[in-house]
Amino acid sequence: MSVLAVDKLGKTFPGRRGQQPVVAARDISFLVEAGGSLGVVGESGSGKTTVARMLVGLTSPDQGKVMVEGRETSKPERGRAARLRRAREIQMVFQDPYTSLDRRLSVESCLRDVLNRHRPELAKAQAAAEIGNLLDQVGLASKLTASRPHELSGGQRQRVAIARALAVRPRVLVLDEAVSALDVSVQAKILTLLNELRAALGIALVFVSHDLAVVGEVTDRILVMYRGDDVEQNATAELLRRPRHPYTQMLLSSAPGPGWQPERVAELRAAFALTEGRS
Amino acid sequence: MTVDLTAPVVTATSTRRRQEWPFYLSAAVIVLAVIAAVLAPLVAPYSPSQTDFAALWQPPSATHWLGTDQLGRDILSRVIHGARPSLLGAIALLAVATVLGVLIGITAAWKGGWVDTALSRITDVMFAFPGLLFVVLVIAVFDRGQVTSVLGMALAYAPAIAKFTRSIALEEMARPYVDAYRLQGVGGAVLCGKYLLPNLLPTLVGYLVVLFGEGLMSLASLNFLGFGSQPPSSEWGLMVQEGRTGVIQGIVGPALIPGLTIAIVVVATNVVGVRLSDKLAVRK
Amino acid sequence: MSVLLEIEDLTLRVPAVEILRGISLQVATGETVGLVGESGSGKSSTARAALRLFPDEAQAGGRISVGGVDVLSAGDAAVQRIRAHDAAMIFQAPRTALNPVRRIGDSATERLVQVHGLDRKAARAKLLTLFEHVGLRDPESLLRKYPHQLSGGMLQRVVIAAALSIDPKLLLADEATSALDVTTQAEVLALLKRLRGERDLGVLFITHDLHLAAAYCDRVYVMREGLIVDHQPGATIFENPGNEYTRQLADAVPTLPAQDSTETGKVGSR
Repeated sequence: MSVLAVDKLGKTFPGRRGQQPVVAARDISFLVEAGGSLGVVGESGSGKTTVARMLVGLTSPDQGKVMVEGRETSKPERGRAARLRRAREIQMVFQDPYTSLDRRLSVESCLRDVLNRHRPELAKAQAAAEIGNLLDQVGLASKLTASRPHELSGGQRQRVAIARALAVRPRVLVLDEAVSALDVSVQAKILTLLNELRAALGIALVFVSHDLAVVGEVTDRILVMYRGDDVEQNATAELLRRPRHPYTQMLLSSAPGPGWQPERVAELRAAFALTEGRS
Repeated sequence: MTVDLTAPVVTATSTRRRQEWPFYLSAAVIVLAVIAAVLAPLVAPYSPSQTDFAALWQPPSATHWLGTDQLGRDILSRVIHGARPSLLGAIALLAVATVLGVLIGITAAWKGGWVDTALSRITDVMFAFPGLLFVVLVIAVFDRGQVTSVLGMALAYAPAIAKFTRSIALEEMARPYVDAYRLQGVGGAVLCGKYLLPNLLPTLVGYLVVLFGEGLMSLASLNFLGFGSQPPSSEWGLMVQEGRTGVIQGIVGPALIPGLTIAIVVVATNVVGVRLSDKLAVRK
Repeated sequence: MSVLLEIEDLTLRVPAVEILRGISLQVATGETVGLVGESGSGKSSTARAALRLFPDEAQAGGRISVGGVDVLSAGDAAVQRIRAHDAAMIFQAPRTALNPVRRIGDSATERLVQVHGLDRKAARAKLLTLFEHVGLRDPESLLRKYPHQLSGGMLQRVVIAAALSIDPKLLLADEATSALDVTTQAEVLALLKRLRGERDLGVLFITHDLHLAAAYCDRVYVMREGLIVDHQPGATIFENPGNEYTRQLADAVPTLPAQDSTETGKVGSR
């Protein structure tokens, strides 16, 4: 059975002051196995972040549902026990490493706070050992435990954010542009880490990003979104090598590389916009 | 300042050398006022209620540095003793207003939707209503006196604090760490009280220090009008009111000195408050 | 082809920190030169130094020449002239470059009116032409809009138009397209390329993306910790990187597998 099952998710935001309502997601469906990883790719405004937020219940969908191990997560939970159980089903890592940590808490107190809440059975010494394990898992030096967020680099903060999510021991981890703000060398290390984690812990990943090449590194399946629609979904290797939808093809040819010409991409985009009926 | 398109706003922090002395002077004024409030009986040369009918309306002299009032009481001693009721009044006013305002502001920001709309409407209406008029109404319904005036004033100040808290809470809630707490299963009340509020405090404190000066001023005006503290208190606003009779006879000291004291303390808290909020905001 | 920007052995230190440790580079007319590095490498500081935009307490050594003027030793008026006429800078976040409470037309013509002494009407007319030139539709109504009403791509075009309005010879683009979607990035870069050709501009193109720099720039400098560690033609930098670090940077960026050529061909015919 799939760990994460998303069925016909839909969300429309009402238009602001006389503008048209915005369809952020329409009929988005996918499955992710334990240890599997799905990429959600699209440009800004494609609705990928809305999908990520619906997965974890921060935005409630208009249609469809999200199931983690057979239990629906897309609705708000009432009661402390239910909320904690939900937390252990699905966690999220956010884009901006500078604002996704509580600036008042050191690395250690941040993780201890999570452990106190989710694993109160751990004695003080056990909790300390577990914090050591978590830091180890995400490749953070133990000398950083007393550091506050502002003393850490972007990559280190993102590792703390991942450790914080892992401390809950979730079944599914959603990452929303989690490496986009990082330097390329740091980004590469985090991607390697994510691959190790899903192999070691059997966590299912949903990796949301605008960058197809990055997504290609950490996923075995990719869903391409355009204006709220699932335009193409396929195994990663297949989708990158033989994209079927013109939009995917355009996205792939937009990335700078050998033979890349900005004029050519601009032409493709204009042509695509035309077929989409945009003026 | 306008933003230049082609030249970046670079050395903003390095070239703007701020003058530091107003801040230190203001801080010194506040320290002095607090010392006066705490140690009044020790530092004041006379008792504030000691009358001397042989020396009414005296100008400043070696025995009475700031002169005497209509009952021959030493003005310097009265100003020093007046620090306690004046400052305590403002502190009490602010404490009550802060508890109310922060509670309303955070609730509105956190709950959103119709709760936010309702609370914001109520605070807007109260905000638009002149504070002094509001307190006079409260006093008319209940009774005059320091407790009523402080509580009434607190009700008048709460909406401003609520508005301010709501706006900084909304800004803070846009930071994803708040969502991260939510996803850990932290409930609304705990999240607001244990995590959100402490992160708002630095910004809030600077604002409250500025409000403190305003509160002091408002209470003094109430006392001047006779709605608050009653004689023989030497609360500063009341002193201005009592000294008023001298002004007609051309004796300005008894009214002017407590008036100036109020003005100096208000300006000082303002300078310190603005500076504090700048500093704390920068650290953010 | 003449040299527009010449930096020789530039050092920059703020108390206790050495930001630049001997940078030498050149940008000539009609040339796009890449400056690549990770955060903290000093690439932005180099560009800012070219316009003498560094903190008061910073100490600079070496030589910077923009259009023959020695930037480090010239008087304030001469540096102002360079900033106002010769060189323009474009930043990563167009939203922070424009005052959110002012209309686009007012922000974007300010420099022309205040520094170049054009009257408002002439400044607007010039900007309108440039707006059309950078592919902005309906420029008239754009002048009346506020920044928040435009998309990132449109806003970056506005900023480019405003930068070009002073008729600069040198363009310093600091991560100018990094915040944009790949497709929008390509559009803006195609535009910049065209403008460079038309106006014989020299462009210093600062980016963290080595692949982008390699594909877009004539020459590429690679920076690390305040030093230039590599300097290669963009077209061949991956074939023979002059430094191990360049190779590491190149390897760190995930690349896409080659696509099936017939499929790509189909897109091209659309």
